[in-house]
Amino acid sequence: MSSGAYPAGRPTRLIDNRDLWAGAVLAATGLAALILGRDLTVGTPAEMGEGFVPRAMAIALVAFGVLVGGLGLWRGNAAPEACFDGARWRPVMFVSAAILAFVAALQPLGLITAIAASAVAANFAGEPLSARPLVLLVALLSAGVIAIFVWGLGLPLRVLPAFAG
Amino acid sequence: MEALAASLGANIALGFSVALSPTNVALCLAGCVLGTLIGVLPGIGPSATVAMLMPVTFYLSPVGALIMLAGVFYGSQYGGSTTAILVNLPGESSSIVTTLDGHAMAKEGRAGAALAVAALASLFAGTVTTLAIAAAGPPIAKFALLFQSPDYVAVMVLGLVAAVVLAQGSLPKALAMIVLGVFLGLVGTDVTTGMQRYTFGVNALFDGIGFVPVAMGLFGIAEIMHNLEATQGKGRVMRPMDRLWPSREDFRRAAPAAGRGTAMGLGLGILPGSTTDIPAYAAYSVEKRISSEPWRFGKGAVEGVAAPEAANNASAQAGFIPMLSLGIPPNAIMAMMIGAMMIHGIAPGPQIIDKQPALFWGLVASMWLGNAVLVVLNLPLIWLWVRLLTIPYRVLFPSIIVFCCIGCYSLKNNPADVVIMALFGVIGYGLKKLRFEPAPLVIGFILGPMLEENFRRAMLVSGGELSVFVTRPISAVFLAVSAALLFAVLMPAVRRARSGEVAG
Repeated sequence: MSSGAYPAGRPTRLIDNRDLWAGAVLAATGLAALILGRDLTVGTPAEMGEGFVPRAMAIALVAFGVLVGGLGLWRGNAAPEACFDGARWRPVMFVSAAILAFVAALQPLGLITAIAASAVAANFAGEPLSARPLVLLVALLSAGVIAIFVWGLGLPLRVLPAFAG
Repeated sequence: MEALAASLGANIALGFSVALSPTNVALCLAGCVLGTLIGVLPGIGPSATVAMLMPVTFYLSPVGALIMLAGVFYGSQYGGSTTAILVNLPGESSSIVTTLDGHAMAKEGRAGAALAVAALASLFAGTVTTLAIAAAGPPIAKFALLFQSPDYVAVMVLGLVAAVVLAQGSLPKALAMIVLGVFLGLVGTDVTTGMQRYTFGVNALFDGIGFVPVAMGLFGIAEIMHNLEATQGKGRVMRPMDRLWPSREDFRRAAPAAGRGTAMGLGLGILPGSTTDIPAYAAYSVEKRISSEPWRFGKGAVEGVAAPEAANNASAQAGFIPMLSLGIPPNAIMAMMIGAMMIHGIAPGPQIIDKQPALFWGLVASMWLGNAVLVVLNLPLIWLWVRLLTIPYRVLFPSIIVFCCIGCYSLKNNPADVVIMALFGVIGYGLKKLRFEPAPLVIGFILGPMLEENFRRAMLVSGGELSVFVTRPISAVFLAVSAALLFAVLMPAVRRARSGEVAG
């Protein structure tokens, strides 16, 4: 099959098969949709309930999952690299953390704290800045955001922490 | 014929009266500049740029918002070509072809010439396509007013099928993304029965999952995660350039190539579901094949910049035809434009041209204006865009995250939207790892509710008989074309073209 696409000496492993994973994720999503939506009314084709089309889509997801996964098994891994080669958890985790830190801090602690929290979290996602450029980034970003969004567009955003007025 | 030309003239005059109002000119300018500004940033393509700037437009009038978004779209496309030429970094898949000869020209010190040719070829393509939209939009919309619900279902199916057939990558995976998109689009309160679907009691989901958080997450946030991973957290690195104006010889070679590129882009782009990369590849390989000196290609042939840039711009803009006349988005960016329209309370569909002539014709006129503005404004600003590339990514990406968060939050002042954006960022990252394309998902997401509503209505009227889709001539034709497209894609020749190799 396409085992020639692998670097020499590397065995074809099931866990490296990208489309097998892709199919599994699709099928799992479809199954989850079926289970979570089991109480929705399906109705008849002429009088569809709210569950008719979602259930049809969920069944289609499972079917596509089986198809994609099956094709993946049949063809072997078509990509030259394994599915999870080069994957790292830091960018995904800390970019998400930066967003969540921002939104968690925004309402109680205000914009400046939120920007600082977000920038500190984001700093772990890549090659980190040292303390001084990081402080400078937060200061410039806060000034820019306040000028554009608060003064310019007049968005109702709290700038300082709630307890500071 | 004369009456038709006269009404077209009157409509274009109406369009320019809207587009040339000081506010709208300013918005068009601002859109182009902001679009280029973000579009030149490495790794941020037009979809991500439009998604990020969408919230800025919510405070504008509907016409102003669409004009600005269209400007952002042109600007970001142009920004993508700029980085393709200067630093060999295509901002999107359609400018990959531009890197071949554009960057080769830049290495010879002809970067300025390559940039000018790219801009002028795009302006030419934009002008022709704008006229095509003005001429073709109203008749298509008039025809579409005859549609009943089965026909709408069929035309949406055609749009969705075409979207996956012409896109790159695995067909079953693209179809699966559409299904997932439709499913996600159905989350929220069912309009017919008033029942909650998959909301789990979360208030923020009662009106459905917001389009903006989904688009920003899938395109903007996922792209940041992917860039950080792909470059060991350093982001991309750049290098400087020198510049020159195109020579007479360049113009002589580029002009006919731009003409051919425009024709191909328009022809391919008018099909619902077309992407911009196929026309760009096709135009490039045609130029190479008909050239008497094919060995010059890849070593700085100016035709190799003019043709794909014209094709890419023409096809991108031709996407406005199905978007405005049928309400069917052929690509992710048009899906976002429809999303923006709906946020402004405008229902997409063929009635727009009749009911909102100022919006339609104003947008058409502003398209031309946007293309012209890019040439006039951006060529002198190239030095600035190049400077921008020297900002380190580790300073840039935290700023982009903050802007995305504020944009997403300000939509409804709802923190839940920001959480949804983060969630779709992770989903988008995962989809990329598994080689799923996010664009069909977004198109399915936009069309999902419309598709369901029309399907239910069609079934209600027909008493549950599926045969209604083949007995109505309009829907039968659309479904036959969809089936033919799906069949054609399984043919070896088309399959080879879809794998995205530059032929020859």
